[in-house]
Amino acid sequence: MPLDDLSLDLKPASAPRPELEVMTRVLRLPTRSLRQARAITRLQLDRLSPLPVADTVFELAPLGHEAGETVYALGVLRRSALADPAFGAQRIVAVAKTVGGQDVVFRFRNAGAVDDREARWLRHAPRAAMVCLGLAAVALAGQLRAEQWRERRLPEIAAEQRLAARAARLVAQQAAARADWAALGRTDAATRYLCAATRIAAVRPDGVAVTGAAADGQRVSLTLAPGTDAASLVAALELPPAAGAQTLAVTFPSEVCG
Amino acid sequence: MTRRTLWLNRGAALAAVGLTLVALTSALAAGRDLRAVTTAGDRPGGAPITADKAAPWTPGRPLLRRNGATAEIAIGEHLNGRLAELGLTVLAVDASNLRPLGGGLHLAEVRVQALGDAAASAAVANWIAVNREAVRLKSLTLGLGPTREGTVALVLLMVIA
Repeated sequence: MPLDDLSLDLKPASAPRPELEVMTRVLRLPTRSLRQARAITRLQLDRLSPLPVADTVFELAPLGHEAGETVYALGVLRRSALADPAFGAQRIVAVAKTVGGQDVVFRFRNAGAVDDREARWLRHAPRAAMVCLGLAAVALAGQLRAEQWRERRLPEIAAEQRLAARAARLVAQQAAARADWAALGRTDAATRYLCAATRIAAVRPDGVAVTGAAADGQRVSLTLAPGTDAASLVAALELPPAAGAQTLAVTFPSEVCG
Repeated sequence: MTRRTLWLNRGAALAAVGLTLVALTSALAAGRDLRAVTTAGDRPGGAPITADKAAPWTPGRPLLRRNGATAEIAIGEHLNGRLAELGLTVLAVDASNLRPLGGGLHLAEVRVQALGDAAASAAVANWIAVNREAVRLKSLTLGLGPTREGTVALVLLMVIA
């Protein structure tokens, strides 16, 4: 037989596991909750177990339901039996029994067992470290790449936005300029001023003396020289009478010279 | 598991935790960078450029061409000569407001201070009315100065190239 035969077991032979004496009985409890059933059993353990309560380990296993009650198999074990070195590394000790014609497995908690959870978890630590190393390398490379991309893109975006803002400003200025130009398209202050001068020349061929004039896109106002009969001029021009006490003012509203 | 292996595994677990933190920090930093670029790209750079919704615009002929000179100088020289022919003595010309009209044309808003009487003002109004495809009068104010001479203030819109 070759030395590397797979059937060759080089591990030291484990010590034989001692037989555990589990006393069983059937319980009917009015709850389906295993937690509540355990609490009820713990309260009545002195009556249910022939052993001293301090030296008793028990476990329940559900068997079924009958008439609104749940049937449990109660397994009772002497605590000192779990102190055997064979169970030293087992935090859960499973014992199979037949109760009420059904096979049940009681899983007793061995409070005195060595807690080897850390060692079991740590077996995966080197592999986890390698995976995390790979993830960290990928993430670092991604961060580096993202930072370079941001440093390159932000100035580009700022330049694009400056250009867009400039173009938008130009468009707005152009629209405003065209609107201002178009607003004076039909009549501007010059045409109104000439209209007023023509109308005055029609009624007063010799002209009138003015000390001031103002014309814009809406109206033309003339301030007559002192001594001028403004009322007769307004009447001759068929203008609406001027409001207020400005007797020397003649106003051509937009309806007259429009 | 020997004691040495146990401690090695503990070190590996600690390294795994540290590397996980490094990976998370890097991922968050990369996310921040992406977010910064996305936010900067979404920020509006100005009013959207839309088609001109104003009144239909037909480009007119310009009143003058700058020919390399600044608008203020070109407009000042042109108005000095033209308004003097019409009887106004130009004191000041302000043509600082220059806006684009499109097609290489610009609209200048010109404020003119001048000395002159009502007849000169009427001549200017007449000249503007004749050339209204290139110049329009926004406002005209005629008054008397402190020495009783006539003063004229004009606000013109001029199309220049």
